[in-house]
Amino acid sequence: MKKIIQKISLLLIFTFSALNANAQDRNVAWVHGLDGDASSWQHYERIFNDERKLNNLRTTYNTDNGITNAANQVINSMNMRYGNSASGANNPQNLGIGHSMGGLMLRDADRSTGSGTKKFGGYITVTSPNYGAPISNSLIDGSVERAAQNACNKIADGPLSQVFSLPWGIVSNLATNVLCDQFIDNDLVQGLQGTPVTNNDLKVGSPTIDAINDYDSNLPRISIWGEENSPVHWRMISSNLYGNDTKFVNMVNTARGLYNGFYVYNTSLAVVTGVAGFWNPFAWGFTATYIYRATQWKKGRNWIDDSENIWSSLIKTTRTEPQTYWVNTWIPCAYPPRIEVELRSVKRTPDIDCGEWKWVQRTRNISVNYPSDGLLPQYTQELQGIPAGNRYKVSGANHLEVRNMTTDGNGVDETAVEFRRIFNRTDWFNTN
Amino acid sequence: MTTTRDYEINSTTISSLDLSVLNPSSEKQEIKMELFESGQLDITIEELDFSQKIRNPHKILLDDSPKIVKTVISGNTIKFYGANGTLLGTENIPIPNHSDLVKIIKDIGKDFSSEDINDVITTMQGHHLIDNLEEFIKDLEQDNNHLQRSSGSPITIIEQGDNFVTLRMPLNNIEPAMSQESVLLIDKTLNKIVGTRIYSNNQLLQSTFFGYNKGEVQSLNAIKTIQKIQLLSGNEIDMISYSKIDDMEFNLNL
Repeated sequence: MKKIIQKISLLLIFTFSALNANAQDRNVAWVHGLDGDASSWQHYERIFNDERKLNNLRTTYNTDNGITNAANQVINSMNMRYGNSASGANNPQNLGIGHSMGGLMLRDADRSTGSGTKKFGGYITVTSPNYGAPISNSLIDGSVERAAQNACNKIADGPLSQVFSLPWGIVSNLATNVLCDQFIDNDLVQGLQGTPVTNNDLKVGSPTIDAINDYDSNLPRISIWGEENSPVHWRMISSNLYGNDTKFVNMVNTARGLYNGFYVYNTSLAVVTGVAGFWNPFAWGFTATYIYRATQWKKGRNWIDDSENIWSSLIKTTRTEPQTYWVNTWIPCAYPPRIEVELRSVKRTPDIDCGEWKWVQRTRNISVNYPSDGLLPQYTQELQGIPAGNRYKVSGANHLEVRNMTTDGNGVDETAVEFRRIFNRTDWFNTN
Repeated sequence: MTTTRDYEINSTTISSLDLSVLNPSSEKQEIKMELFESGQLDITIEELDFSQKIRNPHKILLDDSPKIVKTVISGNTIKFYGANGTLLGTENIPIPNHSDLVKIIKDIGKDFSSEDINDVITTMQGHHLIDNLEEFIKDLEQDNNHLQRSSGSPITIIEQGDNFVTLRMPLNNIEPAMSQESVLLIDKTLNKIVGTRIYSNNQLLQSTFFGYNKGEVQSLNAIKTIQKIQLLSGNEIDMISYSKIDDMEFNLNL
C-alpha cells in the first residue's frame, strides 16, 4: 500500500513538473483580425503572460491580400520568432489564438502545413467567421449601400419637413448624416470590409472559406463566440468610436427621444389647429402641415427602432417567422378625394363598420433577430465538428470589445474568465 | 394615445432585407400639452405599458441601457427621464413660438367663453364658432384675398357636396419653404375635419383620416395615416398607423 501511495505521489509530482515545463515553454501566437494590429490582443496577452508565463508572439500582419497570404505571414512569423525546428515553431505544444479573420488565418495555416511542419498543436478561434462573413456578401451585392441611402433619407425627412438645414445636429456630436453614416457607411465597416481581395475571401461560399472548411483537421480546437446585448449594432459602433459599448447607445436613445418628441409635438399641434381652422381657415393648412411633419419625424424614429433589424438582416442573423398579433383597427367613414384621379369617381359607400375601433388578429411573417456579436452570427462563429465542450461563449461581447471586456464597465472581464476556463482544462489546452 | 404600426403587404415574396423594416409595433403614450400666452408650447410625453402591446420575439440578449419613459419639452429644451425619474439627458431644440395660435384662440375668446372654446377643441367641432359652414365657405370663395398671404397661394374649394367640402391648400401658405399641397375634407354635417391628403408634384405622399366618438362628447378618438414608405429594395409599401385617442381633455385659461 505504501508503495502504491509513493507511486501515486511520484506520478503527481512528475505530472506537475511536466506541466510546469510545458507552461515555461508554451509558445502562444496571438493573431489579430482584419481591423487589428499587434496591439489588438495586448490586454489578454499581458494578463496571461503574467498569470501563465507564456512565451508570446504578438505582431502585425498585412491582411490586405486575402486569408491565405495572411496565413503564410503567420507561418513565417512563427518560424522567425521561435525558429523553424521541432522544439520551436513546429513544437506540437504551440497554441494559436486568433480573433476574427485571425482565426481563419490559423485554420488556413493548419490546412496548408503537413505533419511535422505544423506551427500549432491546437488553436482557439475567437469570434471568427468560420463559415464566412455574411456582411461581406451584403457589401458585395450592394445591400449595405442601399440600406445606408435608405437610412439617410429617413433620418433626414423629419428635419427637412421642419425646414431645418441639413445636416442637422440632433444631439451633440450626432448630426443626421453622422447617424446614418455610422450605421453603415463608416470607418468601422470599411475597415472590416478590407480590400476587395480580402472581402471576397471572407464572403460566405468563397473558394478560400470552402477550402478551409473542407480540410479535416485533427488538431484540438476551441471556438469562442461573442453574444452582444441589444442593440448589437450600436454597441459595436460604440466600442469602435468610444472604447465602450454604451456611450453611442445612449446617444442614439437620446436621438430617438428627440424624433419622438417632434413627432408628438407636431401631432398635438395638428389636433389643436384642426379646430382653429373653423375660425381662421389658414389653421387647416397648419393641421395638414403638422400632420405631415409628424409622420416625417415618425419615419426617422421608426428607422431608429428598425435599425437593429436592418443591420441583423445585413449580417444575416435573422430568420423569417410567423407572428400572430392584435391590431386595433379603425375604418374611416369618409375619404378625401384624390386629386390625381377624377374627383367624382372616388366617392365610396361608407364601410358598414366605419367609425368603429375593432381588434383584428393578424398572422404574418416577421423578421426575428438571432444571436450575434454585432457583426457575425452565432452560426459562423461557432466551429462545427468539435466537441460541444470546446465551444465557449463570451456573454455581452461584441466583435470588437471581445478583445478587452473590461471596457464595458461592469467590473467583470468576461473574455478573461473564458480564457481561464480554457487554460485550466485538463487536456491539451492546460497552461497551468 | 395608443398607436399601432402595420403594413399593407400584397406580395408574398418579400426579401428578408425588406421584411426587416416591416415588423409591426405598438406603443401607448400619455401626452400633456400646455400653450402659454407668450406662445411657448410645453409638452410632456409619458410612455405607458399595456397588455396588448406587440412584442417581437427576438432571440437576443435584452437591451439593459436606460430607457426614456418620460419626455418634457419646455421652451427650447427637451429633457429625458428614465425609470424612477432619473434625468437621462437634456438637449436644446429649436421649437418655434406659437403666438399666432395664441392670437387665433384669443380672437375666438373675444366672442366666446372659455368653456365654449374648451368644448370646441375637445370635440374638434366648429358649430359653436360658425352657425353655417356653407356661408363660411361662400365667404371663403368670395374673399380669396383675405385668405391669400403675399407669398402664398390661395385656398381653393375643389369640390362641394351636400355633406362634404373639399379644400385645396398649398403648404407654402404656412411655410414658404414647403412645396407640398394639402387637400382637406370637411364634413359639413359634423363641422369637422375628417381627412387630409398631402401631395408633392401631384404625387400622393400620405393620407390622414380623423374619427370621432359617437357619444355625448364627440371628441377626436381616431387618427389613421397611410404613408408611402420606401423599402430597402426600392419598392414602396403603404405603412398604416392607427392612433386611438382616449380621454382627451382641454383646459384653456384665457
